[in-house]
Amino acid sequence: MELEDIMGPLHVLVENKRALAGSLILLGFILMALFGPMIFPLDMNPKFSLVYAPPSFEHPLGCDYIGVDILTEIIWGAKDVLTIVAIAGIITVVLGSIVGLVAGYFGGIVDLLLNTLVDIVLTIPGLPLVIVLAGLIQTRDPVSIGLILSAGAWAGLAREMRSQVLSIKERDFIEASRAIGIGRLSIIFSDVLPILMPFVGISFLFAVVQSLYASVALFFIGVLPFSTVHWGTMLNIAIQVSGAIFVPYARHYVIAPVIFIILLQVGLILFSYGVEDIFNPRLRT
Amino acid sequence: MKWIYRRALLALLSIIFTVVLTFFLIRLMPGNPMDYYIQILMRTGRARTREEAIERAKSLMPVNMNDPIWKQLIDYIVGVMHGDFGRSISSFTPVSEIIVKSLPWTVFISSVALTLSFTIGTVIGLVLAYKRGTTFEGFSVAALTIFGAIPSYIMAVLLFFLLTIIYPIFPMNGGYDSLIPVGFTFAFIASVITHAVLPVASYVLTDFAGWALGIRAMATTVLGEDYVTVAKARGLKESTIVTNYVGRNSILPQFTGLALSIGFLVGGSPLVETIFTYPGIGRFFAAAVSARDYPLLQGLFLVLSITVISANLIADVLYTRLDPRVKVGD
Amino acid sequence: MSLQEQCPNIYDIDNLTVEYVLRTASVKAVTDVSLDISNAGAIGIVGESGSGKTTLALSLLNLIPTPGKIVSGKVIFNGNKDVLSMKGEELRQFRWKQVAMVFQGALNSFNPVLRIGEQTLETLTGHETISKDKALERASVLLKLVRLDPERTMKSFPHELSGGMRQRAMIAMSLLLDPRVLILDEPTTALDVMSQKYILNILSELRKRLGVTIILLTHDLAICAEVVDQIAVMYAGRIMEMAKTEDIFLRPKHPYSLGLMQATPSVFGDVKKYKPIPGSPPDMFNIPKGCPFNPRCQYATDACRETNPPLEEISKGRLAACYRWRDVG
Repeated sequence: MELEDIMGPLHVLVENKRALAGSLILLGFILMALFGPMIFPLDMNPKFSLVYAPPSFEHPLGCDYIGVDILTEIIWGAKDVLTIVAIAGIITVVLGSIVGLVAGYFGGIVDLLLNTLVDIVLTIPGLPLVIVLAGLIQTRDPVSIGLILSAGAWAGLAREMRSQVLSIKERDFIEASRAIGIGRLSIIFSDVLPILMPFVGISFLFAVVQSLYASVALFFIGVLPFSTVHWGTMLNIAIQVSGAIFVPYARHYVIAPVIFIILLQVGLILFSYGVEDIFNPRLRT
Repeated sequence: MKWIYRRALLALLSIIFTVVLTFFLIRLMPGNPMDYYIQILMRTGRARTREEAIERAKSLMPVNMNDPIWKQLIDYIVGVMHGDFGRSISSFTPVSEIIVKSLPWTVFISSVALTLSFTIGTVIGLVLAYKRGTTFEGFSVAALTIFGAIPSYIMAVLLFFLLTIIYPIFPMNGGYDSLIPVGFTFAFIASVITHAVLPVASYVLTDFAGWALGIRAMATTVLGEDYVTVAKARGLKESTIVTNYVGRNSILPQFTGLALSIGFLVGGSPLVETIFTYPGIGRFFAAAVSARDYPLLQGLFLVLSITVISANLIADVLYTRLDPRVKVGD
Repeated sequence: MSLQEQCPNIYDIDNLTVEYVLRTASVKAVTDVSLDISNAGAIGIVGESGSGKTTLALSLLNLIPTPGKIVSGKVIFNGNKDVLSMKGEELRQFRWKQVAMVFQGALNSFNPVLRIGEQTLETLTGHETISKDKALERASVLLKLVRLDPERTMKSFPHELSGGMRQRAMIAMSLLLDPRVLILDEPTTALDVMSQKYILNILSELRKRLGVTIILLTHDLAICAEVVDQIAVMYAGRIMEMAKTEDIFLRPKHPYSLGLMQATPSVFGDVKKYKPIPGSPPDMFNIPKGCPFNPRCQYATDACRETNPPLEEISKGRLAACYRWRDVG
């Protein structure tokens, strides 16, 4: 990895204002997740004097239904949120890519079987499937949760990956590799995959956005044994459990997680514009 | 013709797959489902003695738990074909009854929402395509992207908060005011509409952006196509060009997107319906999950999937009729 | 014949300059072009891709696409209509009724989701009130003229017709409103030889039977020989030479025209005599100083490299933009 390899993409990111904004937002969240808990200790003991306390200098986002500081909860929740969606994103992309690559490249019976499987999974409605699976498989393990979240999402990616592979398969340099006698798996990973990296990158980001939506939904319904500070759980408690939403002066408790969820999604989408640009060789020079 | 058979076969396979999947899903639960049912039935008072509980537990699912698995599977499939999807543990009503009661509400608001999102999105998308390059367009695209990123349930929370709590303009829950008798009266219909406004708005305000951006992208390409320039050279009226040339060619690819939205039409959003306590299938779905009402959950999921798969099949077939360029046959 | 129709030139183009304003730079697609196109005549505008011929043609309809701007000049139709200042309803009615254009690669000139018949009706009803029957009748006559089966063609979608058929259908469509002028941009490129022959025959017939003025844009000199009376040679957005077809072929007076003639292999002649023009087509972002052709010209002098030779009448009805035209050939 030379300096150029890092400077190039960085330069593109900085050029594109939207991507820059996105990157900063994401960076903020990552720092929040990594270092936040060290700086802001979480005290989950109820303090009834502070129930629904409005935002103040001491508690910038106010306090929740048992008097715990909301900002701290959000910071601690960031780690759970980011870990789960990152894992889900990775699983979706890996699973979808492998299926798509294999189906597209090998063709024939393999393609037919995999394609049919993908088609079937695609027609099953996504969110309900995830909800059902989560309800039945009670788990706290982030990797399992990630697996559940990617249950439906991988199929869409697999299908797109397959069409991309199909169009690349016939290109000259692939023919050349075949002619030299390089093994098929080798070709897939060293020739085909690099071209698809931009697509994979962007798909990853969108998978993460989807997972964010789905995971918050799951925690909001209360179907996963919750981590108390996950933003979705905060919404769950705010709306369904404590009824904070019915209390006008408790609005900050409801709004806070909402704002951060939206912010994270916006950051991811803006960042994806940057990823698009990074992989566009015409912009890099 | 051959293509249609293949497509229908795929749909059939998908349905069978889903049925089998649903059948096996229940066994993902740790422990024996039967014991679980018996426990719940007794605990919630739906059965007073253990014998009664066992009896009732048996009728929760259209299968006999003591039979070998393959027989259970067959019984289940047969049951499904007869419309027997089991019963809900919490209320002991048949799943099919619950579906018949709740599905129309969901389809009602989802279809209204989809129509509105699509129409509004199309108009905005076309306008933006024509205004390409202006700062207005750049700003709008960014705004639309952000709007589109907001999930519908978040919008639901915001709307609920704003318009029922802080400014109590709209009703908080239900499909209609329960005090008004059901019927084709003005009062009843008005109440149905006011109760539908916020859920529909939650969907529309977040979905229209996606459609708008999609149409805009397509229309921008179409505007650069030769036949649009030729249409201008032919001295056609601007209105004709916008509708027949740019409009029709831009919308066509969006229909695939519409087809994908069919799932939404039938299932709605469990979260939005929960937030507004709207009596649709989504709300029962969410409630079933929280209450661990597995038979209901399975039944709902199965019906949902079958409907979606069938609707997708119909949509695919219709699409080939709409686009003259689509060659039927992969 | 009214006074209007007696006007000898259907188009008077004076000092037309068209510029495309892009984000990074501007390109002058057409520079200082003056041309008279005679009524009921047939002129071929010859040049490589990028020579500006399409832009020139588009300006005859005031159809220059957005980043393009008319920097200067006038285009006068039939002695009295200022085409470049027309707009709105007047322009809409003018287009297709007075002047029609068959675009390059008619393959994508039709709306893919409408049948040919529907698009034909659209064109007619957009301009005049005409009954559906009469419209169909007129369309049928024209389709037969271009040797297409009217019924089958009208019922088809564009993608159901072959390239050659679409090209001919487009020609028929262009004649629907009985235009005075028909512009064809590369009508034979991307077509097989048989279709090419078809189209050229059709064009000759059209001239004879309908008295339509034909403006033919092409890089292929050979088809000019068959159809047009005059040829204007364009290079880097300027007119290099304008003369009768015969003169251009046998006695070209501009080095570029000479180069074109020598670069075209003849079916009968000696293959060895085929000589391509040295150098490469001009970079429109960086046009050379002086005469744009000078880097590739065997006759170039310092004067050529300094100033741009004006387009002058070197004999009756003959124009050339070259300092050394006397020595050419």
